[in-house]
Amino acid sequence: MSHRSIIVSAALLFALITIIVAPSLIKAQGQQAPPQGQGQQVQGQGQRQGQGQGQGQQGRGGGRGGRGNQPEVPSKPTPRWPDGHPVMGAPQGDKGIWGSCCGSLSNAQTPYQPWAKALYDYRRNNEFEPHTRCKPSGGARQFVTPYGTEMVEAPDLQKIFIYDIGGPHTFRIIYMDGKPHPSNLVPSYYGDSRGHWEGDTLVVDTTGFNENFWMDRAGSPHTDKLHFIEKFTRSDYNTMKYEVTVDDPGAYTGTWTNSFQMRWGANSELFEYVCQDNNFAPVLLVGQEEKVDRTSVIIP
Amino acid sequence: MRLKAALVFCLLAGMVVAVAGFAQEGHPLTGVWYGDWGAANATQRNHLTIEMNWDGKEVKGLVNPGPDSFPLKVVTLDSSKWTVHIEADGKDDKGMPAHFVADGKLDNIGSYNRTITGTWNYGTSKATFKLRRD
Repeated sequence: MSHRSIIVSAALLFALITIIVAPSLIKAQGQQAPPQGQGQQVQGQGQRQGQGQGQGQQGRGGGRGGRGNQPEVPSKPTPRWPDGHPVMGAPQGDKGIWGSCCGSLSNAQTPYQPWAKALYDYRRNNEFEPHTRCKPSGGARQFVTPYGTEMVEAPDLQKIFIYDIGGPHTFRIIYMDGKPHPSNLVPSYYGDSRGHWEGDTLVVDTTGFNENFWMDRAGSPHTDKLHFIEKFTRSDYNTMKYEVTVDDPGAYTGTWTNSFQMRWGANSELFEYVCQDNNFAPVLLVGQEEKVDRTSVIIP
Repeated sequence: MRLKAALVFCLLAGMVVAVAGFAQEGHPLTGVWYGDWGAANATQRNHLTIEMNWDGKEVKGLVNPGPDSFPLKVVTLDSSKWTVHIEADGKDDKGMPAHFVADGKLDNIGSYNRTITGTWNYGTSKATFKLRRD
């Protein structure tokens, strides 16, 4: 038998073994896969760690992380103020933050204007989000800030503050004094938020946005005509239902609504995070760069 | 004198940073665009500033805002190809009435310094233009 014949025979034998053995190996791997529930829990943990890249899946908000594979402890009831309405943040003597929720507000039914849909599609492939340049993120994008958000109620001031942690150290004010939006609003990142209670639900009406940010992580476009109606319902200690209605005749042909859940991250609180300190894209900060370094992870 | 120069420099630097800070992420045409137009091989081109604003239904605006400004008559954006069509009635480089028709391509859409380049025609004259959003 020649040397060449030996090599060909060996190759054929290897191919035969591969054809016979490979299917059983693949089957065995499938049997070792974790049960569906475990897989989802791991995904929830990953999402929390990677906030800012969330997929916006309903009911899968960040905040589950930290418990690993331990069984979920039943939640305590919704904490309440003496007047009966729910506490939106940590009750006295406790601390905690809300994990991220809504990576993408839009879905297949979102009534885009043609330019807005084209821009959304473009952004899905060419991320150049102002958040990565340490710009504040208004609207629902605030709740996708890395490390979560802290809600602080100040009844004496008739205000609720929402602090986003992993951003440029900014916050939103929700005015609870019953006054309407000012008529001479200067467009801003967070706009002007006015809240009131409808039963156990905090309803927040916001207008006066500028166009300098993305209103969600996915890049849904908006114009300065954007009007947001948000509904916060803390259904138990660990769960906040967040429903948002988008009204922007500049970018959409009608109003649209989506809802998500935020999970409570116990024993966490605001810490000093200055986006500009460790930003990996300093040239983006002053707008000189025109391309994104795709080899970099999402910043911050 | 040196102090004065330093102050002026700081003021100008501040203005540059402030302008850069006014990122605009809404309609891709909204904003102030700077550039020039002229024959493709011309050494001297004509300054061009166009201010555009999307009102939710159409883009309106001005060419060369100031004493010699003239309004945009038609502005359309084909977002499937990111092409822009502009028409306006104004004056040419010799001060004669002219109907301008510009067709361009929008590039670098994700940047607030995006650009439009294309043809800038009036009467029988054919020219090119380039604009950069600032």
